[in-house]
Amino acid sequence: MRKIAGLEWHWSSILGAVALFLVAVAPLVFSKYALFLMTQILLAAYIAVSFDFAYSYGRILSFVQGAFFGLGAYSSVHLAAAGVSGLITIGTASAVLAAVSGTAIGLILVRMKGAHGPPIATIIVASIVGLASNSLTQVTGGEDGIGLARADFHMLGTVIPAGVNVQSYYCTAIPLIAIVAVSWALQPTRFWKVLRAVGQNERRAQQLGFDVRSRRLVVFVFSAATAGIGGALYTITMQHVTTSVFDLSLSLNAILWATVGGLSDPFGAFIGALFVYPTTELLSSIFKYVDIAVGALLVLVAMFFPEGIIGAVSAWDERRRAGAMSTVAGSDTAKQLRQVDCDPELESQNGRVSSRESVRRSAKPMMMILSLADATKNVVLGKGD
Amino acid sequence: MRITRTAPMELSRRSALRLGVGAAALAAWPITTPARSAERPIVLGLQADITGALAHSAYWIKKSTVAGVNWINKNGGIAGRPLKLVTVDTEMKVDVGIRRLQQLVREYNVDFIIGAEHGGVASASAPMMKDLKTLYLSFSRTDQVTTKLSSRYVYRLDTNTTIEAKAAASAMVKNAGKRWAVLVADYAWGHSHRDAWTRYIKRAGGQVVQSILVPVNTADPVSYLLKVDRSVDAIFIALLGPDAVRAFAAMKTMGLDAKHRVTAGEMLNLFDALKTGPDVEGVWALDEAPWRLADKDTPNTRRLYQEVGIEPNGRETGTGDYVMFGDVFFAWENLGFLKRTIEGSGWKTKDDTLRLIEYADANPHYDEGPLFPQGPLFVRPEDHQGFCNFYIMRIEDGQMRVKEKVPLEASLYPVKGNTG
Repeated sequence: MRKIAGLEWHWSSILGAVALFLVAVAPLVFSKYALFLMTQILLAAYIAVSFDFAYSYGRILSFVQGAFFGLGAYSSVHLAAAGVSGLITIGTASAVLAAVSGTAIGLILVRMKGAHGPPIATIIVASIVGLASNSLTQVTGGEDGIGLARADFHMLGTVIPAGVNVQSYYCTAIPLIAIVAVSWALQPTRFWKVLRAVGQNERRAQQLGFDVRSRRLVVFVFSAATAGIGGALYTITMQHVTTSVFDLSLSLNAILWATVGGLSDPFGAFIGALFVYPTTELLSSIFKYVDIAVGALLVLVAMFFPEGIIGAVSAWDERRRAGAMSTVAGSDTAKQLRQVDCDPELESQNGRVSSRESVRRSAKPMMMILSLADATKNVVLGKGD
Repeated sequence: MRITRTAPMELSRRSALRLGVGAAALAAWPITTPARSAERPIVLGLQADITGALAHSAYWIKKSTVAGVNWINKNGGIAGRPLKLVTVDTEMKVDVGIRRLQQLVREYNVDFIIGAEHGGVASASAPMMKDLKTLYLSFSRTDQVTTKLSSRYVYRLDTNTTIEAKAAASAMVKNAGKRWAVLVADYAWGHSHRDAWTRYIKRAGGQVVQSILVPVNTADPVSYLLKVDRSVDAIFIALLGPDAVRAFAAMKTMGLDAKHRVTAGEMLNLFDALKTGPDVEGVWALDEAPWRLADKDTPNTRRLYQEVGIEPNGRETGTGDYVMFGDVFFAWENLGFLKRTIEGSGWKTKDDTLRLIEYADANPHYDEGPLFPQGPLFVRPEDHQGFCNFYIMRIEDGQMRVKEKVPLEASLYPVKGNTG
């Protein structure tokens, strides 16, 4: 771990920075199809990142993030139909709509007691939204959907053509990179440490005098807005939106992406989407029942790397550093590190290892159940050829 | 000074043979190379809903397309070039469907695409074809593919909800009565059937007095069926597979089977209707193709059945499984459309696709033939919507029997699309 510009550089941070760099240069090296795929991955990453915020810092295992994404997508298509062409206006309006909905739902969720109440409530809300969206075909177009009424949009004086192209790709990538980068940059701040403390141990944070409920609500609302922005960009790039965006499976996939990447790390959900999405694509080209293969892969990850990719990298990094420390066991640095590991107050403030541990305990069975459900669903439904 | 001696040349029988083969190959080279080039396959992409609720339809679309490709290749190909088929699976997900569409065009370099049946996938795919400059033959029945989403590059030979309602409404008012209830899935597909049926029943002199929306996957439809006005003469039904099975069983129990029950096009193909026995006895069906060979026993239909693998009784050869007839006929006829327009327009590469479209628009009539077994087909240039003869059938004694054939002219509706 090194400190550069006041920030701690773990190997996981370096991995994240490399991923962000790849996203930034993708249009320069990718084919048109790969760019299309990459755009879809980034859109998926919005939901994964939003789930990570809701779960790791808001303590809400949310199955409703896909619905916020859908709201953003539909607000975007209707705004475009109403003649709005400014991307910033559309993105902001979509984020606000998702945030308002997130506030309404979040106010109920943060008041719920017990670990099981909020997830069940989010499943119920997501199901109701899904059913309602298919009934309100005048507004949603049902499963046939609604096409984007505009061919061009504007941002800061630049014309952004609808569909997947270099301009729209960067319009999709930049807000996501900004969200991830800002959350990473905020890591050492007191504000973020308190959020971590809330995410890690709500009761303890409450005893320390923090307003836990408000913080959870704010985080949940922010997570909804993040998904809403992703939804708005989905419509601009895919040019069509259907009620499938309200499908519960979208939220389930987001949970899988985030968990595979690594929860409670600013880069985890982002890397998870970057890893799982292309892996699925690759497997689908060589294996017909791709959901079985992906499900098996995810079960394996859950069993052997329950902290996800970022967690595995961090664990390796920590082992490596511990090995290096053993050679200088008597040094002052080593003593300081041991003190940090043993001090519960500092551990809470540090949050990194213990937060992962708490996430690991809940994520492992959840992820296995979700991946198995996801794997079997389509196989049972499909006759195939 | 170095002296070299030239050995006398010896030519063994084996060497002479090698030399002969080599010379023959060399002589043949200028002839065979252009021939190979001319035989570069025409590549078709099939965007199929192989996984998910439409898997059975996709199975038949793929089976019929593969059989058609093989039959065309056996009979000289198209303009002397063989056809090659690349199939991708949409998984019935819109994001996957459009990704596969991009993959077909960008990675597999297909020349033409036969599109998905799923309304959302088709509706999201259709607007992309202009940018991709690739002709798209849609299999979806959702109206908007040839109305507000219509485009120069998008064709649909198959019917849609408006065609079905327009073709069948008059005949059904005559056969079943004037007062109607509509029982449809609370879903875009159900809503569009409700709207079209209500509109055309009214034009035919009848009236839809009530419409009941049934949520998809309703475990017990009784509470919805209890709402049916007992004074109606007939019930129009558009429910998805498992919902339909449960509804038919409940209708029989509740005595609603005494009413005329008319089902939306292809609805009875979404499950093995004839196997449900007495529950569906007397039910009316609307389809583009009869279910038994006896109802359209022509050499062209007979050939189609044989090539695709369908028994004269309308079941799959070998398995006895049920068949999606509309999909089978139009998967075959899509290939007929391509053969006719490619050969007629002199299409060679994708750069010629606009010329092919102009040819297709200038020659919209297709006569019944080996690649058009369904009968005459009219592909309207203004919206690229196909019109064909339509069949009104009824289940009698466990058999789906044709009761009336409606000529294609009866299903023509005003143009709502724009392919300019």
